[in-house]
Amino acid sequence: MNLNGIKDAVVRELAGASSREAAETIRLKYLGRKGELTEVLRSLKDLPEAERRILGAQANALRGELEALFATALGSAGSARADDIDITLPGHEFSRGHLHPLTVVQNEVERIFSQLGFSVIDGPEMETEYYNFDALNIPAHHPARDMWDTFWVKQPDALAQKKAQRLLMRTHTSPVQVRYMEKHEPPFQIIVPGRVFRYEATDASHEINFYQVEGLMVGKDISLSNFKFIIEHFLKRVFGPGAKARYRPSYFPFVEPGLEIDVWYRGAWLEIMGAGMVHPRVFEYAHYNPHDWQGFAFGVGLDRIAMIKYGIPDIRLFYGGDVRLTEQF
Amino acid sequence: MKFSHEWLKSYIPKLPKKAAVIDLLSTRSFEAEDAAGDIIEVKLPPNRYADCASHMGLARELAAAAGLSYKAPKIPPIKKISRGWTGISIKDSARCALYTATFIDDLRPAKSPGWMTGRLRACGMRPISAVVDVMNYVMLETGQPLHAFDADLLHGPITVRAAARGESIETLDEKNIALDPDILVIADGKGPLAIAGIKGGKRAEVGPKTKRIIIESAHFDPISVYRTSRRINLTTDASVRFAHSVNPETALLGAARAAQLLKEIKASASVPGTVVAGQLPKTRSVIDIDPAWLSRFLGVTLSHTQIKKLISPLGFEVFAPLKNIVRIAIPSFRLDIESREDVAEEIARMYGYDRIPVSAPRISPQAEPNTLRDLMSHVRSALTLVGYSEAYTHSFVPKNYADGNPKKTPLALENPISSEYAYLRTELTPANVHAGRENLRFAETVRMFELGSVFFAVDGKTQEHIHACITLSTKKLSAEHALRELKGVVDELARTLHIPVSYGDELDAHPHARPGHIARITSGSSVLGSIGISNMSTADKPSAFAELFIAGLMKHAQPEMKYAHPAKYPAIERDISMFVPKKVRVADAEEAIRGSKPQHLSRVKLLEVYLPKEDRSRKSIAVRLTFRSTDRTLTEREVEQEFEKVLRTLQQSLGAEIR
Repeated sequence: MNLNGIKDAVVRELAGASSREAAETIRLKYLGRKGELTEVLRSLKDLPEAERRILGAQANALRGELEALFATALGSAGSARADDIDITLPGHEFSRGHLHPLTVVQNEVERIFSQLGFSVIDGPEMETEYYNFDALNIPAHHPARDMWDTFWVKQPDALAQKKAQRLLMRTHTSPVQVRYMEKHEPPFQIIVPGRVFRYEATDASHEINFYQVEGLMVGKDISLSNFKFIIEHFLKRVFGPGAKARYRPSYFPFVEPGLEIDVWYRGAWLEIMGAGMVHPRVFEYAHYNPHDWQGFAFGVGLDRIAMIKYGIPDIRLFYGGDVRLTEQF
Repeated sequence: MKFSHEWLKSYIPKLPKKAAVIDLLSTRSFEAEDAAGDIIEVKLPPNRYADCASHMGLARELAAAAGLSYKAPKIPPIKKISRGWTGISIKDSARCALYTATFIDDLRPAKSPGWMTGRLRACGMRPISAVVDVMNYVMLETGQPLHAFDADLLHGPITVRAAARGESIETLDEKNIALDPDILVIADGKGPLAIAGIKGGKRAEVGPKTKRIIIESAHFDPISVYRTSRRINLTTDASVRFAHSVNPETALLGAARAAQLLKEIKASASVPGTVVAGQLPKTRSVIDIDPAWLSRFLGVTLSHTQIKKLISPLGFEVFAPLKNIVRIAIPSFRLDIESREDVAEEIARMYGYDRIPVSAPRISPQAEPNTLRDLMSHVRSALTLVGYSEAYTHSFVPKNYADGNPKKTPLALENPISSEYAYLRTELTPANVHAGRENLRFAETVRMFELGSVFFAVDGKTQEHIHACITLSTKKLSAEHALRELKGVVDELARTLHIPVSYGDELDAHPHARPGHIARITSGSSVLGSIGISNMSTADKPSAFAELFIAGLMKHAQPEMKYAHPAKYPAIERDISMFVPKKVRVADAEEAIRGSKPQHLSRVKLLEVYLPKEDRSRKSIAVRLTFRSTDRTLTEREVEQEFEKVLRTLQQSLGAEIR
């Protein structure tokens, strides 16, 4: 069959095809692996070069034309007439990807604070003993340090071991407080979301790594009363307008006074964050005059927010890499 | 720490029930929980041990919080004497400021009364003997740890000194502990009798035959006790208290109380004498509060009278107004109060945090952009749009996940929780591929990504970088398909960031890829990451991965883009189907095509590549060339000329057989 004959045949047969299946059968007859045009293309190699050149170009062009014809035919053939549509047919499924619930919560927290004028700041996950402890008024050989079970990192070589600061995985996002203050002058307000680490046995509510958001606001007259405003606004945005805050005395060496905040959510008080007024000694470590500046700091667990909001019963689910968790978000 | 409700009530007659006490402590002081029976479990913060790690101390705090009156037991002061039967001396006053020894020489058999053993048991202590029980009882009552030595087992005077190298001690619980000068001991002429502030020794243990005792009530340096306790891995009720600081004034009180109780339970009849070595560290101090500052700090304005009313019950002495300044004397038992902020906390918690008004701060409008996080958000949304779901994996991995890259030294944890989590991840790929393959138990194809920090050292210097890892694991698709899909994902991601990327051969061995199935992702001369087939793949379940460096994407991303007018003139397409030797790769073919410099060639698209069954030495490649000019319609003739040029080149340089 010559090339024109193929084209005519295709046009003729397609006109008689009433369904997708019929159109597909015709497509396979001509363009399938053993189709007529395919055979032509395959036989080209046996022709003398001059002939092959011409026929090859024509055959390729024809293939393009036929592909277009079939595309149209397969798109329309068999599609029922308007009055035949079954409105109860299910929708086509799309397979989009999903964000991790901790990313969803982190995005929300960042959005809330950004709208209040807070900058979002980053810091290293591998820290020095100085920023994680000393500069936060948690001296060595003090029992207060036992509040943070720490993963220590071996120095890469013995020389470094001797002269450098001890390395650790940060136990909280608070080291970024001093890192940020060393490079910036108040007034400012920042949040620092990030991964933190605790040396502890894992169970439904403990993981070796988890997420915190640190908050820090410093100015001439930033007060505890201002802290209550910011945090109550935040809790209402995250947990809904019915959320209430309860404040209890607590102790963290880098704040004074130190507080623990509970949130009233779905009929219960839930422990949600630690906070307080920045300790004057922390300002001193950051080379601020504590008589010039004051402000508040807080730390809230992202995992905890996500667990409370979405009813996730076990923190370990976040780090198992199971897409059946993620696909729900 | 365990506290007995009944015991506390003996100091505060009107003390409410347990539940109310717990509530009161939690809102005014510190966290407390209900424990079995009569017991309240109090989570003392480290700074409140000095005044509250005792029933008397907690009762004082509780009474102030509740507004009730607190009745301390009446303890007659001890009789100070200048010499006992044996000399007392402090050789290390830095680590022991005060050492008191109370001499009792008429010990007689006695039984601890039920009320005492009951309270001890309630607080988790086992009654042992009258003397030991009194020591323990006084510690739980006053917060002062005591120790009793059998005086007849001592050899020569008692000294408080650094242990000598090579010395050791057998403790009361019959453990042998090696000592050195970092450890402070109580010793006699024969050697160590006790590890200062931590544990007594076996040698001078009080027993049923003991007739004369010396009661130690001392003040030890908290850091020294803490360090020693950590080093010898021995924590006791005494060491916990000393490590958090004990009020130095309690030393004499504790001794007096012990003597009083021994007499009360008829273990002794005489009036004992106490030798005091060293000096009481001075603790009483005064702090001035400016009410204007307090109002600025807390956000609530309080008068001198209000302040006085709030904190006097806690033992603070508030002096008469002095030029608008509130002068406050700090009680000696409150070692934690050092600054005006500390006093502000006392005022605020007694006032009630819930009563402090809520007021909006003046916010300085200067939020900075965070381009790193913006980019990471962009990567996340680009990847979810093409069907990939986000995973979080642990930052710690087993050794074989961290190892294998000769340029990166993996970092190990000093104290790993298990060998599974012993190293810091150097790449995200192994853990992500592993997680993806785990998911294959209930899915046919798993598309995942993670953004996270990796850690390693280069030339002894530690580094931390953020990577993005994309993986595809499948039971359904071929390895080639998986790889090509991932390449498409990387291409698309790069396109959304306006980064031109290409793929080059990875010359180094890759620790997580199948040999040869690995490529570098590059932009210009920068390496942006790598892409390949994981070596965890099996024949029927391949996994492909791509790991990208976020810093590289940051550097090359083009935030600004320019509009390009849609093509005005029609394109002409030409397909090539050819056989080439098997070793020729698609990139070679494309390079040859472009290398022949055909004019107006705008695109080369791979249509098909396969290995013909009948001839294993060859490979069939089909490509489509698109020719287009930006300023006119091309003629068939000029395209044909360029096409011929391409075909010739393919034949000559690749040995292609055009089909």
